[in-house]
Amino acid sequence: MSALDETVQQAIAWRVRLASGTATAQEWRLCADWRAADPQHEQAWQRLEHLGQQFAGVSAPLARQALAGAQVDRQRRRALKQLGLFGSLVAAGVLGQHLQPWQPLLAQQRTGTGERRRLQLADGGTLHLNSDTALDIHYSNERRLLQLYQGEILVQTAADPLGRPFLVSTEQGQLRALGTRFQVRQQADAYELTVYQGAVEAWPVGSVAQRIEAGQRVRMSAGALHALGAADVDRGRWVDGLLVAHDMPLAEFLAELGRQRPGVLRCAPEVAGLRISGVFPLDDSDRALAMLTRTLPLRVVYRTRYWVSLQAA
Amino acid sequence: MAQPLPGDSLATLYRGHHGWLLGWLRQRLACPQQAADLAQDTFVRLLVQRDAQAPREPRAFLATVARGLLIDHYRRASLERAYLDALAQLPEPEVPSPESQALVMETLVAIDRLLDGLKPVVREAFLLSQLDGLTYPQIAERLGLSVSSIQQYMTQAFAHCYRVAYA
Repeated sequence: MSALDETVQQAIAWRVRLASGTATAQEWRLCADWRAADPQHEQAWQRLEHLGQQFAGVSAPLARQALAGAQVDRQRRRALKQLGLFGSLVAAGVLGQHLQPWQPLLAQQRTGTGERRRLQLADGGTLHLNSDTALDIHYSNERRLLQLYQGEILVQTAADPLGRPFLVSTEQGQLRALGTRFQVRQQADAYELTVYQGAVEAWPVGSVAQRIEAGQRVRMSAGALHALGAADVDRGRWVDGLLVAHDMPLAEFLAELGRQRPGVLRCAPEVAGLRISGVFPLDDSDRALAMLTRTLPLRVVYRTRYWVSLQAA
Repeated sequence: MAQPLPGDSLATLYRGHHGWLLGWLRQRLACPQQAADLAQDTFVRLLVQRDAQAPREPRAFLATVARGLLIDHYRRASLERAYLDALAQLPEPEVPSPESQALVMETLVAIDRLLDGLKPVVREAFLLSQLDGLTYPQIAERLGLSVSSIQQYMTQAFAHCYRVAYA
């Protein structure tokens, strides 16, 4: 990208400072002096002013929604195109990730595969981390912030004597808890939010904030929220070490169980649609698999400890 | 050597390649009427470009110009769809008149063009400032970032917009 000349860079520096909402009268005066010092300064300034004026003429919520909608539309097209080119990279969520890949590794709080942890928050709230989760906890005088990098958490907030907001920040947007119990789970390019109690305000990047009430489940991606139907408390049973299935397709069941163990866990296509119901232990996934073979026409094939597949018996 | 493009050479270009360009565009657009319009726009674009040169590879050249127009067309279409969706959610008394809708559409196209290519978080910070009128500390809190990051993003965004508009 071409470098802008120094006058333009100076004009931008002034523009940025004065647009902060916290500029002092003295800064305004100094800027006026700078503009008056040279006609080229004034020209660069006027051009930036003109750019800013375009934003003043439209209704903010409407413009925001339209711009975000168009953006999502294009991302979808672009994603479809890339899928053809890079296939598995996109499916793995590698492309379109703005997080630096090492960030989760440096996070304050991490769980390994198969590890789940319960943390007591400084304000008395509770935080559960599911398998393979990484986040930072930032409590300051102004706010309580969880920066979630990957994985899944379940939060029970506590009333804060200081009245600070409770925020969860992700790549795709921000959540503000409104006295609540809720769960956030990472998907390939989105986060799934389930609200069990109270309400959560969800603000996807590039879109408008929406209030999600108890009993609702939504998918938050950059630019949009999609309703996913009713919240199912049994999806939060992992905090008790349990996987509770109601009529769950085998493929989905194995995906859930697979998050708790290293290696590959898959099934033959002809049995992928078998329905599973029951309560299974997450800490002993081999036992969970053995339980399946007792009630369903399945057998477990161990190629190695880390490569397991389920096939028709 | 490329030569300045006088009117008669444009006519030659039109006669020789208009049919080909129309076919090229029809393969890329669902609507034949739009393909015809864009083919026409492509030649109009050449006509008003005073410094246009007679191309050595006329079809590659026409395709380049047409491709640019096609991208604009898609950008505009996706923006129009999203704007109409947003309008549809407004209560009736708040829906703007058709005239001001058209003006707003033009402004949105301009804004969208300015912001194209910015990283999502930079774009978001910039919109929160310029569209919603939030202060940097408010934006920092909204996005869970530091005020100095917001300043950096604003600098990037203004520089980007400046390049798009004036460079």
